[in-house]
Amino acid sequence: MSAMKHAEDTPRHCRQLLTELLEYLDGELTPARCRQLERHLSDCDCCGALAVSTKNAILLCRETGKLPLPESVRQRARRRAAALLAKLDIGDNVRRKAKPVASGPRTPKAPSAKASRRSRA
Amino acid sequence: MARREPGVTNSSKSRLVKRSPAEGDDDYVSLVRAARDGDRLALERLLLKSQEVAYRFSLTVCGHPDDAEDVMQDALLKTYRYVSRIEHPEAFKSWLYRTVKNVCLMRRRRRVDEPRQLLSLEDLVPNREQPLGFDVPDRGRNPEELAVNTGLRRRLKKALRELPARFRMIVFLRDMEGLSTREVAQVTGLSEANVKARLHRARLFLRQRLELG
Repeated sequence: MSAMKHAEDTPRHCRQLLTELLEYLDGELTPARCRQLERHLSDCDCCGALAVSTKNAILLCRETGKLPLPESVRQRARRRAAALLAKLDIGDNVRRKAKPVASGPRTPKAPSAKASRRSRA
Repeated sequence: MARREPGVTNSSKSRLVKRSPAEGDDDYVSLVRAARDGDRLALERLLLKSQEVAYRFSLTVCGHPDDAEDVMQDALLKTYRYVSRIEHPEAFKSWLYRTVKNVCLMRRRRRVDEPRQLLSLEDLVPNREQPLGFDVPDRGRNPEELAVNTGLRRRLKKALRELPARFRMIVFLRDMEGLSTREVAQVTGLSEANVKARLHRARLFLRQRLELG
């Protein structure tokens, strides 16, 4: 069916209302416009069916979007997250152990064996 | 005269598509807050969620299963780095989708057969001889309904592949992932009006393909 055929077959009024269908389906039309459009949808079989099937297409998208991921993919994702967190734990432990030396109070260094020999001499 | 499938009447269901308010938003915000404050479980859940988004985006919008695992890895690392320095947890959701989109686009190899045409409203408006109507059983309660939904999902997948990528991304973000128009605009960098216009055409295109089978 060509584009021209569609244009000829669809009355101008219907085509104008079609642009409001999206807002209507998303519940964004003003109550007055909503009532007006609903009146048209119940009078016009073509537009009424278009609204229903467009709504069904949206519902199908929503439903499909909520499907869980394949278990194998989820497992890999869990393993990847766990590996990253484990790496962070190792990093934290290293930092924690290193911390007292790096930022702790300065204590006098024990003299080396060489320095002790020099002082005795 | 338009013909409708049995069981689909204008009065049988409300025509408005009800969307649960801010679906998943609170979840993200509270998870980000908790993760930032050192809650390890929250961080783990966030890392999983970000990978799930990356997988779905990669598969649905870019259609490259081979890239999906790499995109998931990138999303995981970027999420971890971002969460520790995030100031506004409310901004996380948009950031995540934007980041995944950018990672996907960076990896995407242009395919010769990728449709790039504009969608003409003229072609998407039904005429009076065209059959209209298909039904989506609500959550497919019994095997028959499940089978109907599985068949429809297969048709949806095919229709999404035929949809030009820039329209496909809008449908994915808005109708499959449940982002608001504003959030989609933030992720894509388009104006809200432009998002609405593309969404309208994309929905009509999908409707048409689903009906024609």
